[in-house]
Amino acid sequence: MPIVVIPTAFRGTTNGAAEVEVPAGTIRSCLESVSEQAPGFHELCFDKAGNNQRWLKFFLNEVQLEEGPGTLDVEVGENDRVEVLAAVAGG
Amino acid sequence: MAGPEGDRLLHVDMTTQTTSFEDFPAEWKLLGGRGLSAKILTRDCDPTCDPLGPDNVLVMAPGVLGGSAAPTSGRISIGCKSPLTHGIKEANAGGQPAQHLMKLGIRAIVVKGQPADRDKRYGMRVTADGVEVIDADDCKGMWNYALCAKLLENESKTASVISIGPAGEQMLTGASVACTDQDKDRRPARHAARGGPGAVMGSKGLKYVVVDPGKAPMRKAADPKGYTEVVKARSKEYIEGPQMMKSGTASVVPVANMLNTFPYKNRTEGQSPDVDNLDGARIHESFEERGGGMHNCLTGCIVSCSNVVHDKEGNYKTSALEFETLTLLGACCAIDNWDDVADLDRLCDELGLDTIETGAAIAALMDAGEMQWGDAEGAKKLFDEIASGSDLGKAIGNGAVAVGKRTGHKRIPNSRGQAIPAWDPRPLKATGITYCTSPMGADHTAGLIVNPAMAPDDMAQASQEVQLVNAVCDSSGFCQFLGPDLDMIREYYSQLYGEEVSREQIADQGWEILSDEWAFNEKAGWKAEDDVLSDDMVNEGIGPDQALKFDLAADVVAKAKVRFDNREELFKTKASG
Repeated sequence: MPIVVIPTAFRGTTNGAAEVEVPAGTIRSCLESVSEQAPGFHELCFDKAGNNQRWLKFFLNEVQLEEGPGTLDVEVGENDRVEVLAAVAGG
Repeated sequence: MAGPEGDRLLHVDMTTQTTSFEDFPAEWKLLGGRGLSAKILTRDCDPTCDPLGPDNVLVMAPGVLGGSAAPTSGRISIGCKSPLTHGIKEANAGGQPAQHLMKLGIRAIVVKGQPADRDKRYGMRVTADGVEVIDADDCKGMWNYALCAKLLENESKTASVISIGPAGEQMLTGASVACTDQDKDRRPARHAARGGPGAVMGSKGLKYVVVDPGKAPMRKAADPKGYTEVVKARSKEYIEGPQMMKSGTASVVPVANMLNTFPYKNRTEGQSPDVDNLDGARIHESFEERGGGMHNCLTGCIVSCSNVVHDKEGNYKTSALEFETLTLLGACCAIDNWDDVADLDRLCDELGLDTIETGAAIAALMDAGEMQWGDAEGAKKLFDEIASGSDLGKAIGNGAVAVGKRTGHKRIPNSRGQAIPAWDPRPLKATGITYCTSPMGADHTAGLIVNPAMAPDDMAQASQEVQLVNAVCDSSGFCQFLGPDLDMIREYYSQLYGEEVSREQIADQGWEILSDEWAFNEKAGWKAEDDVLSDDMVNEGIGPDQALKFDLAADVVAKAKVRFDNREELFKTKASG
């Protein structure tokens, strides 16, 4: 199963888990699957219109995905690794 | 060739208004910024001195890499004994003066003494031709923007300014030191703010320093080719990476709110109902209609995190409007929109005040019932009080604890007299350990960890590691927003000096900086039992069921001050503040 790497700032929703296994699908379905196991994760990842939050960046197998409307539709295979980075720092 | 050869420390005696140079000690060659400031203060400053008296020492120190081709490396550290925490303090800022000082081979300006006539004001000009201390009585009381415009009108295009506003002149303990931007407008929008360094500069009668490197060249590395290769490779790596700070820190607002670290109404809640109107996205949306945009505050910056904010008429209002400012001057005061916070930010920059400390002070005043929550216009009028030196103005300018003393109000979130920053130690307990144990006190730039789920057993080591990395970063001149780690910094140092700097050396440097600072503080009277946060952080919860409290045991916190063995995670830790 593919693995979603959770940003450290969001691990309060996953009880500290750094990685979550999810069924293969798309970036969107992978994040939705994490959300089912992690209350609060959905709001951190999706806005009210269902788009990904602007503070997120996605890497598929260590390659950054191009930002745009199609990002969430990128397919994720059985052995893939999706890393989610969140811009949460600074003052 | 860069290196100690030819580099100097510029000493300024404000008692006699005379200057002298000292050859830069060879053994300090890998020290700049915060680390150099700590060494100078350890050597030259009595830790028991009155912070606003003649025996305090004010250090203005660029980082090691300043003035070179290293990207985003031109920050300047302002160090002193803090009149707020009564411990050692370093606050750093962007802008252009650090690059200019390093081009002149000046590794630090060390200001001592105090004029006999406390009403006198002096300025200083540092150029390739020499240094002069000049009468600046005509600048007395001037606000930062007008002051810098006046000074730069008669200077060449290569000059920059370090200055204080009226708050520093009044020696208010929330006072900042301003540095001018790199762009053509050269506004004093970059502030070394935390801990009151502006008050110390004011206590010396020093209103400003103009630095003009003229045609002085960029600093060269011992191995120019190797250095250029590092610069190119590391810059490419950053530019091709996710560039997480590209939208600026104001964009963090909504996610911080979701994490219960966007404190509302003097931190009685962790979330603000006004989050949408304080969100940095609204600032970005304003660019199209009003103008403004993102820019870099110092030359050679590849992060460009700074927003330039315009008013409704399209005129410049302020820069940069940061997450911390939107929190403390916005949500914490229940002020419900970014436009008003931008006005308050500009007023802080004009008078030369820390936006965090000032926001916390106004929030405390509101919480005490002496001003309505969300009264933005009332908050703006407080700056007239500060400028005029009224008792109320002094209390606000002296920070949150001073407001508590004036009003008798007890909820004053702080540690060692310094207001707690936006990043809240209740959901972010490892950051709370930093606030308790850092020589800088409650300062997010000393070591921020945004991980609400970290296991308590892991927190002290994580805090120590980021404190150590930040200490090295703040000595290098790199901006924390570039996210350098120890390997990256030592790679630059190795090429700069033509000598391999090992992992152990760079880790030891970080520990030595912290140790120097802790030792200073101990001599200044800091006690281990004071490595705590104010009672409100311990007893008053926020978040779901008000369950989030800073409830770590003292022995867990104390571990952050006992050195852990170096591990791989230390070298993977990126500077974060």
